Amino acid sequence: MRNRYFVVMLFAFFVACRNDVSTSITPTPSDGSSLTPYTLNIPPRFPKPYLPDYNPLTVEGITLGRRLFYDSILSSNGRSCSYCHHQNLGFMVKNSDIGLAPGLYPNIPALINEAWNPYYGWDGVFPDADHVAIGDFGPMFFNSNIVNVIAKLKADPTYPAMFKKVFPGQDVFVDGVLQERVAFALAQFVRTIVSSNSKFDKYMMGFTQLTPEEADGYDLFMTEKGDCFHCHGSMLFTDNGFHNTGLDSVFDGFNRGRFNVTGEAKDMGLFRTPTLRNCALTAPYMHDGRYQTLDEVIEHYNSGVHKTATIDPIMTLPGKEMGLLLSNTQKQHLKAFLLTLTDTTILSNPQYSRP
Amino acid sequence: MKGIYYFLFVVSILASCRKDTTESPLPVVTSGNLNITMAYRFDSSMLQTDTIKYKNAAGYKMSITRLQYYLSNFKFLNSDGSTYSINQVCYLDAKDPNFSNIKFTDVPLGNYKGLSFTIGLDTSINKTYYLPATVENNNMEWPPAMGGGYHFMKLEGYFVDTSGTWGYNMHLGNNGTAVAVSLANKPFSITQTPSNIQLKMNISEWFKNPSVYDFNIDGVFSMGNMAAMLKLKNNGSDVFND
Ligand code: HEC
Ligand code: HEC
Ligand SMILES: [Cu+2]
Repeated sequence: MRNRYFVVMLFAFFVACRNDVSTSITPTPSDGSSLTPYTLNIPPRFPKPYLPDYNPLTVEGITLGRRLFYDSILSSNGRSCSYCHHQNLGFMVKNSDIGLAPGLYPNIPALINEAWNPYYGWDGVFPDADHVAIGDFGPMFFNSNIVNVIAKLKADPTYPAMFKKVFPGQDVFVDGVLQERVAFALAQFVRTIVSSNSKFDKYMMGFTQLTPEEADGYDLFMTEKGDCFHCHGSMLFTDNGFHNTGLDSVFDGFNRGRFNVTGEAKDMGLFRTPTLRNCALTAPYMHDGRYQTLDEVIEHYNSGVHKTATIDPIMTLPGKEMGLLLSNTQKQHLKAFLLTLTDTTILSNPQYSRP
Repeated sequence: MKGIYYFLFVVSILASCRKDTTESPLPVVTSGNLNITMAYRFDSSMLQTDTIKYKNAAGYKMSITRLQYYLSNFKFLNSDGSTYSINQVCYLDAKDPNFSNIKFTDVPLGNYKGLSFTIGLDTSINKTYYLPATVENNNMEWPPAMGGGYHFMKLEGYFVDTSGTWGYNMHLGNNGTAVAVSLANKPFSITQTPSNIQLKMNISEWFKNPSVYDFNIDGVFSMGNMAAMLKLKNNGSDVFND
């Protein structure tokens, strides 16, 4: 886990330097450049996404970001972003399936509906999407040699022109600048990955019905019986807040969660609520991937909650000190509802695939 | 439900445009702006969130970790007995500086002797998807399966009794539980320069006057428990009394 802090430190370092570079080299639509603005598709009842002025979405930026996302040219170990955020697997992958050492990396999050996140990383250590990828050049991820990366990019027949187009008038092939420009383009691409084509969405639009089992699960989810909606509510299926859901009774390392970012006692063991969209496809679960199946997750909420000083008040319902006390049938129905949140179209949507 | 989904979506868009009343510009200034700053206390102490240091009427030490709510239905009382009504729903969050102020523009100039408003939403607008789909409104949704509409208030934290520390969730919602607040004696003037007033909520009052709310008797989780919510509602009308 120490290595992760190295990444975070690297990140902090670049953030610290950000002011020197961003203002002068960030493209703005008003600088007369020929960039084509891109309008993000906002599904019904989704709130306004977080789209920063300093990195506006453009067709050219997204095209560059998409190419970089799938390109191992950025690394010295053959990895690309897609190595860990694999489209066919819901833009994530199980740590052990790609041989990542157990416990060294957090569970890899699925990159969907990222444009609506106010924070990034399980503990919200990254305040925006635009700088997340800077840390990926570090030894734990790409182990990049920036001099080599720059040489390879410069030698490529098309990259120099693409970068020039997206970041006009800037010399991006400079150590420190390159990482930030790459991260900006990647963030643009990642923000375009929108998942809103599940059975549940079709049900909400009146195009299909839920089965009686799914409908019962929806009721459990949306009432105080299961009480999932307080944190996984509305159309994003996350409140984007930080909560301690009682996974642990002692906290160390990454399990300290938000505390590692704020240092405040009230944040011990709190993690950002993940979306439940596509959760059927994105096992394992939780920040450390401790649960392999949705049944295990439901059983956690049903009977495995540890009560500690920072446990979310919502998790201590009256008469539920013993857990939710769901019957086996109810657990199955709750799971049936979670399965209606699956959107298989993003797994093969050509808009997001390897160019 | 889902059939009216798009309809409600459109309604909510229209609702968010409601403020565009067209008035022909007048050469004489007849209106001004009012800024209301929200403040919070627990009896005589200014609110400090996330620390178990307050004692409620039932005798429990307690903390506040979340306080989010709506104010709506503002009416300003003129000295002649008439009122000026404002059709605006205000979301407030005691922990978020972005939601600790209310701004009213184009209020007729004059001396007002007081104001009244609702904690929560009127029945006519307490409908699922009525409000624009902001992050805050979406997080205040009250599931259709529990009656629909929105939470009027989420007040959460911890309290300590002889057996340990427990969470409490005072969630108010459902038609019939909105709280009417009348501050007939809170004079303020609207002038050409923006005016400021402060509304201070005494959180302690949710748990007393007229009846003591005891977490262990009345429940730590009010959502879906009409008796608990009505008790809070009845206690709530004086939370903004100075
Ligand atoms: C070695 C595997 C790996 C590689 C390669 C990788 N990531 Fe990640 N990614 C992760 C892990 C693990 C996290 C969770 C980190 C945390 O919570 O601190 C993550 C988190 C993220 C997040 C934040 C998601 C959220 O909602 O919190 C974004 C965005 C992201 N990665 C984008 C990228 C991009 C772009 C690349 C290519 C530059 C990339 N990743 C390469 C493993 C990887
Ligand atoms: C108090 C807020 C809260 C409530 C209530 C809640 N969750 Fe969660 N949920 C979270 C948080 C926070 C996480 C991430 C925890 C972590 O990784 O440490 C999470 C994680 C999950 C995950 C894993 C997602 C992933 O991608 O790893 C699933 C599935 C899930 N919750 C389902 C449910 C269900 C079903 C219910 C109702 C029985 C529920 N949750 C109630 C906050 C909540
Ligand atoms: Cu509630």
